[in-house]
Amino acid sequence: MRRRSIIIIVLLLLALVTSVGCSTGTNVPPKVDAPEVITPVQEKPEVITPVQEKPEVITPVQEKPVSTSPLRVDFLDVGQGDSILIHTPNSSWVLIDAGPGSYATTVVAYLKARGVKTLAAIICTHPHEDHIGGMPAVIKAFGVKSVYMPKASTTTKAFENLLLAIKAKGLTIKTAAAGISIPIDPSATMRFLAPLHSSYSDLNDYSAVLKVTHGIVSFLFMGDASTSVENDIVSKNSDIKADVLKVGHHGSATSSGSAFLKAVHPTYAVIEVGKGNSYGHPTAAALSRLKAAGATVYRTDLDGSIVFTTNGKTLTVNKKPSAPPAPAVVVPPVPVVVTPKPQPNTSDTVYITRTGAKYHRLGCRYLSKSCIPISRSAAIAQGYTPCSVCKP
Amino acid sequence: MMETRLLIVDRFEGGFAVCEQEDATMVDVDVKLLPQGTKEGDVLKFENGMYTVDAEATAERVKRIRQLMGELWED
Repeated sequence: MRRRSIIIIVLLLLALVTSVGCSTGTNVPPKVDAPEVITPVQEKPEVITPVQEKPEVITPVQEKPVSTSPLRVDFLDVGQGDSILIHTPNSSWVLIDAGPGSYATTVVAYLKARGVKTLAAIICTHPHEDHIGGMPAVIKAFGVKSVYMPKASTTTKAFENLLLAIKAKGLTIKTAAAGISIPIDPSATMRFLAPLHSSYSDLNDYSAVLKVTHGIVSFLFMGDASTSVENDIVSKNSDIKADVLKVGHHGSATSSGSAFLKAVHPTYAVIEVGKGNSYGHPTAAALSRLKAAGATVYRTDLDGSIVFTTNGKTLTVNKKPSAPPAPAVVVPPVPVVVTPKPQPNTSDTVYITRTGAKYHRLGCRYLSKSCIPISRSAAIAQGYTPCSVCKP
Repeated sequence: MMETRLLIVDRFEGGFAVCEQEDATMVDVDVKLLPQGTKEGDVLKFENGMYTVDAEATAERVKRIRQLMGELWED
């Protein structure tokens, strides 16, 4: 009896199981099938989720270059003058000089194109117009945290305007002198090697000379210091070797002495100098001494702005920076029609009279009747010839 | 007649005194045209085709700028 009933139950169960495999008419199987159809639909949002997570993955990658970012030094082409922008590995900005006043807009535009918002430090190497003329505009346009200058004085409006711009911003001035360091970035040491004395007869010799070192790569910025200061630096420092030398005083003959160049032993030498300047910069004497020292020379008059980048071990040079200064308006010394205002390249301004056929230097005795400024090229283009008395 | 002009000697470059004009633009003046002993920072007066050093104007500017420096320098 029991066996029979068990067999019947088993048979019934078997019939039921087999009917599940082939029948769609029962209630149970569709319920099982339905969730299986839904499941991949539910999985789709899960596929989207990692896509949404991707931007979160990028974030730490973006942070990495900040901590390992290189030291970058831009030598700006500011005609006959100096301006150097330093970007340190911890992303601080330092500006050494800002070119002459006629290049102020060029310098401000260059800094903006590089993404400068705040300058951790500005250094005015010495109070000559070709170094500080553009600085008031920079101080007005950007945040400034600290100002370093040698304690040197002059009477020009360029210097007065610099002091007034510093005052208007509520800043004070730190003395740049040998032994003083700029504590901005532990991985880029910045130390002044000069001025070494509190009094010099020439403003050029007050130049704040700065050595910047990142890893084993170093830069030496000379301002306009002359050979006597160079020799003083050599005698008071055991190691002034530098990979890149910002040549003193635009390559004048009174800077870049052989003994000094031997001690620095630069791989690269950069001369910041204006095309066609009337001072003979850079001089053949300085160029030949740099060549004898084995330095590869770059010049802003021939190469434009020059950019060095270093990771602390190797050094790369780029003569065509990715963020060039936009305003070409100020740069070209194009021949211009008679204009009452002197051209940006003031060294090439001559003076004519209303009636004469000669052009003159300012101060020539033939200018007593009238004195009209004009660019030399425009004067020549209009048929004027040089005065034989003042020999312009 | 030409009016009087004032210039300030910014620096010397070779045979030139690079001078700041009243409109803040720069001009090169042959040092041969300047009085002997002209120094950086001297205020020059250009009058009747001649340059002279204006000692009074120079002293006034030296004083004004020294005062400003005193206000701004940290040490």
